[in-house]
Amino acid sequence: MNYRELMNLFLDFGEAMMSAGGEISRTEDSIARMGMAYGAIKTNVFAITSSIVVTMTFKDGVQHTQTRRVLTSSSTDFQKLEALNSLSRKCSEKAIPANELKKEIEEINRKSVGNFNLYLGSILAAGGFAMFFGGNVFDAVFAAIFAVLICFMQQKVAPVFPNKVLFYFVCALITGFGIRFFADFIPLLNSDKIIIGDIMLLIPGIAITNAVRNMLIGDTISGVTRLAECLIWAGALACGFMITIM
Amino acid sequence: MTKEITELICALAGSLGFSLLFNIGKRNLLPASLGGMFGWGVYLLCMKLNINIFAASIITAAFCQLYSEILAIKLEAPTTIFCIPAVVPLIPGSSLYYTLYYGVLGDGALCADYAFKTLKFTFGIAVGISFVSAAVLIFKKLRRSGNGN
Repeated sequence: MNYRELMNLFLDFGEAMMSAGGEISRTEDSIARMGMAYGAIKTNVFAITSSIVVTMTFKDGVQHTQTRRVLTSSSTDFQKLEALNSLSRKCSEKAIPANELKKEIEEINRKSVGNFNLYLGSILAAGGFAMFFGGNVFDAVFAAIFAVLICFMQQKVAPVFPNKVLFYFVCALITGFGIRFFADFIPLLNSDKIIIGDIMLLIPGIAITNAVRNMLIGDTISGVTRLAECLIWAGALACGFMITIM
Repeated sequence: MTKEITELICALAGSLGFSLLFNIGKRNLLPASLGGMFGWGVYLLCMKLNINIFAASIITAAFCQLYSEILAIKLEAPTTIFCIPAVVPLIPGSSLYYTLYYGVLGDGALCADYAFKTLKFTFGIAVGISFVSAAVLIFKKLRRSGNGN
């Protein structure tokens, strides 16, 4: 395998890592370390949320540069991240043959989060947080019911939408009206607590925290882009829910 | 006291939910979601000691990151895996909602109050995590150079 193919492989790796929810600095580090293990004399990696640029100088003295646009927006998959992390560790200690590396990356990329985990996770998170923020048991149950709806929309409806902003707005609108409808009929329910439980699923809180963290540790461009993106999503969510509580 | 216990149990359920959503492997599921409960315990303790919420969220996030760094070494997994579910209960979903709610109602004072609360939590979490992860990096570097490598 020549250097060009090898670097393409590193970019595949970096792309997978970033779309699994790996930090920017971790991705840059891993690619650089793998490059050194595969015979680069000098490596230069620059990653931001939407792109990776790698320049490596190999033993022949020629510099190779490749870039990759990272399109998949953040869908966190920690099992994938863990697998990629240990793969990178293994490779930086002792380079495995490039063909094997390619196979391993493909293998890791093939796996995706199971539906059961997604639905159960949404139910637990929404129900738990509805009660956590002061709701009663009925609020938790209804938050869990709407969590199933949200999870379904995230899986089936979101890919159809041209962008996440519009999706978040529509998702908030549908969920909000649904919750209002039930809360108006059943006096036991507190619509605010149910909405809060379900907001926890949609709100890009972790992404915002990560964005601020990126800025604090020096990945300023990634941090600012991510933060702006998240604030727009949060704004869309807010508009959707605001219309329903008016 | 019952309120605190309910909160702790719900924090555990919520963190477990997010751990499942983020597809944390079976092996790391329990330690990761327990982090959420322990973290919230630290936060409640801070509240008992009358520490303001910005400092409390920094302390809690710092605790969560430290907990994750230790687990990451013990279980040989990336730190983020444990840290994200642990800080989830700190995410200000409720104050964000009330910010909007009072914004719609036109109550500027309460709206600003909740908006500040939301910001304090968000920045507090980020500062706490970054502080500890930087400290750990420095510590590791010092130890490595101490070994004469």
